[in-house]
Amino acid sequence: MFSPNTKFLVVDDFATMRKIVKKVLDELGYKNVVEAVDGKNALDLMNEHHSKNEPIQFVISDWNMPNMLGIDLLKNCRADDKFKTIPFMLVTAESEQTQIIDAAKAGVSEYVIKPFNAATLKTKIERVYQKVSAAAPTAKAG
Amino acid sequence: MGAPKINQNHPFMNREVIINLSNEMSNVLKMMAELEADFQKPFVSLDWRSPKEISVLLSLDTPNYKGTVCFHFDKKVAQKIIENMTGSAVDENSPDILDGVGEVSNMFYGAAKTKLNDIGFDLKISMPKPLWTKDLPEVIESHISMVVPLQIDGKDCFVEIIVF
Repeated sequence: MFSPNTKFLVVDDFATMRKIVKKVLDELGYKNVVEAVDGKNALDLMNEHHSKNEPIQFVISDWNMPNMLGIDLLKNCRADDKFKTIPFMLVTAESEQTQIIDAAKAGVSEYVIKPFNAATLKTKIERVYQKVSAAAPTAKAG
Repeated sequence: MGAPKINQNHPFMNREVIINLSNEMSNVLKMMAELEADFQKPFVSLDWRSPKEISVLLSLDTPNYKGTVCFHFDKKVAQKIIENMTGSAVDENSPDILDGVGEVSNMFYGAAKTKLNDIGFDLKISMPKPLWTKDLPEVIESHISMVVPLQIDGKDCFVEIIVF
Protein backbone atom coordinates (compact mmCIF):
# COMPACT_ATOMS: atom_id res chain seq x y z
CA MET A 1 0.00 0.00 0.00
CA PHE A 2 0.94 3.66 -0.22
CA SER A 3 3.12 5.03 2.56
CA PRO A 4 1.13 6.30 5.60
CA ASN A 5 2.71 9.71 4.92
CA THR A 6 1.12 9.97 1.47
CA LYS A 7 -0.51 13.39 1.10
CA PHE A 8 -4.14 13.10 -0.01
CA LEU A 9 -6.30 15.90 -1.40
CA VAL A 10 -10.03 15.37 -0.79
CA VAL A 11 -12.20 17.56 -3.04
CA ASP A 12 -15.93 17.94 -2.40
CA ASP A 13 -18.28 20.91 -2.11
CA PHE A 14 -20.06 19.18 0.81
CA ALA A 15 -18.11 19.26 4.07
CA THR A 16 -19.95 16.14 5.25
CA MET A 17 -18.56 14.03 2.41
CA ARG A 18 -15.05 15.41 2.96
CA LYS A 19 -15.42 14.41 6.61
CA ILE A 20 -16.57 10.89 5.64
CA VAL A 21 -13.67 10.35 3.20
CA LYS A 22 -11.19 11.75 5.75
CA LYS A 23 -12.58 9.40 8.41
CA VAL A 24 -12.13 6.40 6.11
CA LEU A 25 -8.59 7.50 5.19
CA ASP A 26 -7.83 7.91 8.89
CA GLU A 27 -9.10 4.37 9.55
CA LEU A 28 -6.76 3.17 6.79
CA GLY A 29 -3.83 4.92 8.47
CA TYR A 30 -3.59 8.00 6.23
CA LYS A 31 -3.45 11.13 8.38
CA ASN A 32 -1.94 13.59 5.88
CA VAL A 33 -5.09 14.97 4.25
CA VAL A 34 -5.72 18.35 2.64
CA GLU A 35 -9.26 19.50 1.73
CA ALA A 36 -10.63 21.57 -1.17
CA VAL A 37 -14.20 22.74 -1.77
CA ASP A 38 -14.23 22.50 -5.58
CA GLY A 39 -12.02 21.82 -8.60
CA LYS A 40 -10.68 25.35 -8.83
CA ASN A 41 -9.75 25.42 -5.15
CA ALA A 42 -8.10 22.01 -5.62
CA LEU A 43 -5.93 23.20 -8.51
CA ASP A 44 -4.84 26.24 -6.51
CA LEU A 45 -3.90 24.03 -3.54
CA MET A 46 -2.08 21.54 -5.77
CA ASN A 47 0.02 24.32 -7.29
CA GLU A 48 0.65 25.86 -3.88
CA HIS A 49 1.83 22.56 -2.37
CA HIS A 50 3.92 21.80 -5.45
CA SER A 51 5.67 25.17 -5.27
CA LYS A 52 6.55 24.45 -1.61
CA ASN A 53 8.03 21.14 -2.72
CA GLU A 54 5.42 19.28 -0.64
CA PRO A 55 3.28 17.96 -3.47
CA ILE A 56 -0.15 16.40 -3.21
CA GLN A 57 0.32 12.69 -3.99
CA PHE A 58 -3.23 11.38 -4.37
CA VAL A 59 -6.46 13.18 -5.33
CA ILE A 60 -9.91 11.93 -4.29
CA SER A 61 -12.51 14.15 -5.93
CA ASP A 62 -16.27 14.41 -6.19
CA TRP A 63 -17.66 14.75 -9.75
CA ASN A 64 -20.61 17.09 -9.28
CA MET A 65 -19.33 20.41 -7.90
CA PRO A 66 -19.85 24.10 -8.63
CA ASN A 67 -17.10 26.21 -10.30
CA MET A 68 -15.21 23.22 -11.71
CA LEU A 69 -16.49 19.65 -12.03
CA GLY A 70 -14.33 16.76 -10.86
CA ILE A 71 -13.93 15.53 -14.45
CA ASP A 72 -12.59 18.96 -15.47
CA LEU A 73 -10.19 18.94 -12.53
CA LEU A 74 -8.97 15.54 -13.75
CA LYS A 75 -8.51 16.84 -17.32
CA ASN A 76 -6.62 19.86 -16.01
CA CYS A 77 -4.31 17.57 -14.02
CA ARG A 78 -3.63 15.26 -16.96
CA ALA A 79 -2.82 18.28 -19.16
CA ASP A 80 -0.29 19.62 -16.67
CA ASP A 81 3.19 18.04 -16.58
CA LYS A 82 3.33 18.56 -12.81
CA PHE A 83 0.22 16.48 -12.15
CA LYS A 84 -0.27 14.26 -15.17
CA THR A 85 0.68 11.03 -13.37
CA ILE A 86 -0.87 11.79 -9.97
CA PRO A 87 -3.24 9.04 -8.75
CA PHE A 88 -6.74 10.45 -9.21
CA MET A 89 -9.93 8.85 -7.90
CA LEU A 90 -13.41 10.13 -8.73
CA VAL A 91 -16.03 9.55 -6.02
CA THR A 92 -19.49 10.16 -7.38
CA ALA A 93 -23.17 9.35 -7.24
CA GLU A 94 -23.11 9.29 -11.06
CA SER A 95 -22.62 5.75 -12.33
CA GLU A 96 -23.87 5.95 -15.90
CA GLN A 97 -21.80 4.10 -18.45
CA THR A 98 -21.12 7.22 -20.54
CA GLN A 99 -19.73 9.05 -17.53
CA ILE A 100 -17.51 6.15 -16.53
CA ILE A 101 -16.18 6.04 -20.10
CA ASP A 102 -15.58 9.82 -20.06
CA ALA A 103 -13.65 9.46 -16.82
CA ALA A 104 -11.59 6.56 -18.19
CA LYS A 105 -10.77 8.53 -21.35
CA ALA A 106 -9.72 11.49 -19.20
CA GLY A 107 -7.27 9.25 -17.33
CA VAL A 108 -8.99 8.51 -14.03
CA SER A 109 -7.11 6.01 -11.85
CA GLU A 110 -10.24 4.63 -10.13
CA TYR A 111 -13.93 5.42 -9.89
CA VAL A 112 -15.94 5.01 -6.65
CA ILE A 113 -19.73 5.11 -6.76
CA LYS A 114 -21.63 6.56 -3.80
CA PRO A 115 -22.90 5.17 -1.51
CA PHE A 116 -19.74 3.35 -0.52
CA ASN A 117 -18.18 1.90 2.61
CA ALA A 118 -14.66 1.89 4.02
CA ALA A 119 -13.89 -1.52 2.50
CA THR A 120 -14.74 -0.27 -1.00
CA LEU A 121 -12.52 2.78 -0.69
CA LYS A 122 -9.68 0.64 0.68
CA THR A 123 -9.97 -1.79 -2.24
CA LYS A 124 -9.95 1.05 -4.77
CA ILE A 125 -6.87 2.66 -3.17
CA GLU A 126 -5.11 -0.73 -3.26
CA ARG A 127 -5.97 -1.05 -6.96
CA VAL A 128 -4.51 2.39 -7.65
CA TYR A 129 -1.37 1.36 -5.79
CA GLN A 130 -1.08 -1.76 -7.96
CA LYS A 131 -1.43 0.35 -11.11
CA VAL A 132 1.14 2.90 -9.89
CA SER A 133 3.55 0.11 -8.92
CA ALA A 134 3.11 -1.62 -12.27
CA ALA A 135 3.72 1.60 -14.18
CA ALA A 136 6.78 2.63 -12.18
CA PRO A 137 7.99 -0.25 -10.00
CA THR A 138 10.88 1.69 -8.54
CA ALA A 139 9.05 4.96 -7.83
CA LYS A 140 6.42 4.40 -5.18
CA ALA A 141 4.33 7.31 -3.93
CA GLY A 142 4.95 8.55 -0.39
CA MET B 1 -63.47 20.83 -5.38
CA GLY B 2 -62.02 17.33 -5.94
CA ALA B 3 -58.44 16.17 -5.88
CA PRO B 4 -56.20 18.08 -8.31
CA LYS B 5 -55.95 16.57 -11.76
CA ILE B 6 -52.54 15.49 -12.85
CA ASN B 7 -51.42 14.48 -16.30
CA GLN B 8 -51.07 10.71 -15.93
CA ASN B 9 -48.84 10.67 -19.01
CA HIS B 10 -46.31 13.04 -17.48
CA PRO B 11 -43.04 11.05 -17.34
CA PHE B 12 -42.28 12.15 -13.78
CA MET B 13 -45.58 10.68 -12.58
CA ASN B 14 -44.40 7.29 -13.82
CA ARG B 15 -44.30 4.66 -11.07
CA GLU B 16 -40.71 3.87 -12.10
CA VAL B 17 -39.66 7.31 -10.85
CA ILE B 18 -41.18 6.67 -7.42
CA ILE B 19 -39.93 3.07 -7.21
CA ASN B 20 -36.38 4.00 -8.16
CA LEU B 21 -36.23 7.01 -5.86
CA SER B 22 -37.60 4.93 -2.98
CA ASN B 23 -35.24 2.01 -3.60
CA GLU B 24 -32.18 4.20 -3.88
CA MET B 25 -33.12 6.20 -0.78
CA SER B 26 -33.38 2.92 1.13
CA ASN B 27 -30.02 1.70 -0.19
CA VAL B 28 -28.18 4.94 0.58
CA LEU B 29 -29.66 5.28 4.08
CA LYS B 30 -28.82 1.68 4.89
CA MET B 31 -25.26 1.78 3.60
CA MET B 32 -24.22 5.26 4.68
CA ALA B 33 -26.25 5.76 7.88
CA GLU B 34 -27.45 2.29 8.93
CA LEU B 35 -31.07 3.50 8.90
CA GLU B 36 -34.20 1.91 7.45
CA ALA B 37 -36.83 3.80 5.44
CA ASP B 38 -40.47 2.71 5.54
CA PHE B 39 -42.39 4.10 2.53
CA GLN B 40 -46.14 4.75 2.54
CA LYS B 41 -48.76 5.31 -0.14
CA PRO B 42 -48.14 8.37 -2.35
CA PHE B 43 -50.76 11.07 -2.91
CA VAL B 44 -51.23 13.94 -5.34
CA SER B 45 -51.71 17.45 -4.03
CA LEU B 46 -51.87 21.09 -5.06
CA ASP B 47 -50.27 23.64 -2.74
CA TRP B 48 -48.98 20.94 -0.37
CA ARG B 49 -46.57 22.32 2.20
CA SER B 50 -44.06 20.22 4.03
CA PRO B 51 -44.51 20.19 7.81
CA LYS B 52 -40.85 19.27 8.22
CA GLU B 53 -38.01 21.66 8.94
CA ILE B 54 -35.46 20.82 6.24
CA SER B 55 -35.79 20.47 2.46
CA VAL B 56 -33.39 19.66 -0.36
CA LEU B 57 -34.27 20.61 -3.94
CA LEU B 58 -32.88 18.96 -7.04
CA SER B 59 -33.98 19.80 -10.56
CA LEU B 60 -35.62 16.94 -12.41
CA ASP B 61 -34.97 17.96 -16.00
CA THR B 62 -35.03 16.11 -19.29
CA PRO B 63 -34.80 17.78 -22.72
CA ASN B 64 -38.64 17.91 -22.89
CA TYR B 65 -39.88 18.09 -19.30
CA LYS B 66 -39.03 20.09 -16.21
CA GLY B 67 -39.69 19.34 -12.59
CA THR B 68 -38.15 19.27 -9.15
CA VAL B 69 -37.64 16.54 -6.63
CA CYS B 70 -37.72 17.72 -3.05
CA PHE B 71 -36.60 15.64 -0.08
CA HIS B 72 -38.17 16.89 3.18
CA PHE B 73 -36.48 15.83 6.41
CA ASP B 74 -37.47 15.95 10.04
CA LYS B 75 -34.68 17.84 11.83
CA LYS B 76 -34.04 14.98 14.27
CA VAL B 77 -33.82 12.51 11.38
CA ALA B 78 -31.37 14.77 9.54
CA GLN B 79 -29.25 14.96 12.69
CA LYS B 80 -29.31 11.16 13.08
CA ILE B 81 -28.37 10.58 9.42
CA ILE B 82 -25.38 12.90 9.62
CA GLU B 83 -24.18 11.62 12.97
CA ASN B 84 -24.37 8.03 11.71
CA MET B 85 -22.62 8.93 8.44
CA THR B 86 -19.75 10.89 9.96
CA GLY B 87 -19.44 9.21 13.34
CA SER B 88 -19.44 12.57 15.13
CA ALA B 89 -22.06 14.65 16.95
CA VAL B 90 -23.75 17.55 15.19
CA ASP B 91 -26.11 20.22 16.55
CA GLU B 92 -29.62 20.00 15.04
CA ASN B 93 -29.61 23.74 14.27
CA SER B 94 -26.13 23.80 12.77
CA PRO B 95 -25.54 24.61 9.08
CA ASP B 96 -23.72 21.26 9.01
CA ILE B 97 -27.19 19.67 9.04
CA LEU B 98 -28.03 21.33 5.71
CA ASP B 99 -24.65 20.35 4.26
CA GLY B 100 -25.12 16.72 5.28
CA VAL B 101 -28.66 16.30 3.96
CA GLY B 102 -27.58 18.03 0.75
CA GLU B 103 -24.93 15.37 0.24
CA VAL B 104 -27.16 12.44 1.14
CA SER B 105 -29.90 13.78 -1.19
CA ASN B 106 -27.30 14.07 -3.93
CA MET B 107 -26.67 10.35 -3.46
CA PHE B 108 -30.42 9.55 -3.57
CA TYR B 109 -30.81 11.48 -6.81
CA GLY B 110 -27.58 10.31 -8.45
CA ALA B 111 -28.35 6.63 -7.86
CA ALA B 112 -31.99 6.95 -8.98
CA LYS B 113 -30.99 9.02 -12.02
CA THR B 114 -28.63 6.27 -13.17
CA LYS B 115 -31.38 3.64 -12.92
CA LEU B 116 -33.97 5.87 -14.62
CA ASN B 117 -31.64 6.83 -17.46
CA ASP B 118 -30.97 3.12 -18.01
CA ILE B 119 -34.69 2.71 -18.81
CA GLY B 120 -34.94 5.68 -21.16
CA PHE B 121 -35.27 8.82 -19.05
CA ASP B 122 -32.74 11.45 -20.01
CA LEU B 123 -32.31 13.20 -16.67
CA LYS B 124 -29.59 15.79 -16.42
CA ILE B 125 -27.01 16.25 -13.69
CA SER B 126 -28.33 18.44 -10.85
CA MET B 127 -26.81 20.32 -7.91
CA PRO B 128 -28.65 19.80 -4.60
CA LYS B 129 -29.94 22.93 -2.87
CA PRO B 130 -30.46 22.25 0.86
CA LEU B 131 -32.42 24.84 2.81
CA TRP B 132 -34.67 25.34 5.81
CA THR B 133 -38.22 24.58 4.63
CA LYS B 134 -39.41 28.03 5.73
CA ASP B 135 -37.09 29.44 3.05
CA LEU B 136 -38.53 27.35 0.19
CA PRO B 137 -39.29 29.49 -2.86
CA GLU B 138 -43.00 30.21 -3.35
CA VAL B 139 -42.91 28.71 -6.85
CA ILE B 140 -42.21 25.28 -5.37
CA GLU B 141 -45.28 25.45 -3.16
CA SER B 142 -47.78 26.44 -5.83
CA HIS B 143 -47.56 23.51 -8.24
CA ILE B 144 -49.09 20.08 -8.42
CA SER B 145 -46.93 17.52 -6.77
CA MET B 146 -46.85 13.85 -5.94
CA VAL B 147 -45.92 13.32 -2.30
CA VAL B 148 -44.46 10.07 -0.97
CA PRO B 149 -44.55 9.90 2.85
CA LEU B 150 -41.99 7.75 4.60
CA GLN B 151 -40.71 7.09 8.07
CA ILE B 152 -37.06 7.11 9.00
CA ASP B 153 -36.08 6.25 12.57
CA GLY B 154 -39.79 6.42 13.51
CA LYS B 155 -40.27 10.00 12.25
CA ASP B 156 -42.11 11.33 9.19
CA CYS B 157 -40.22 12.54 6.15
CA PHE B 158 -41.42 13.13 2.58
CA VAL B 159 -40.30 12.88 -1.03
CA GLU B 160 -42.12 15.39 -3.26
CA ILE B 161 -42.06 15.29 -7.06
CA ILE B 162 -43.17 18.63 -8.47
CA VAL B 163 -44.03 19.02 -12.15
CA PHE B 164 -44.00 22.33 -14.03
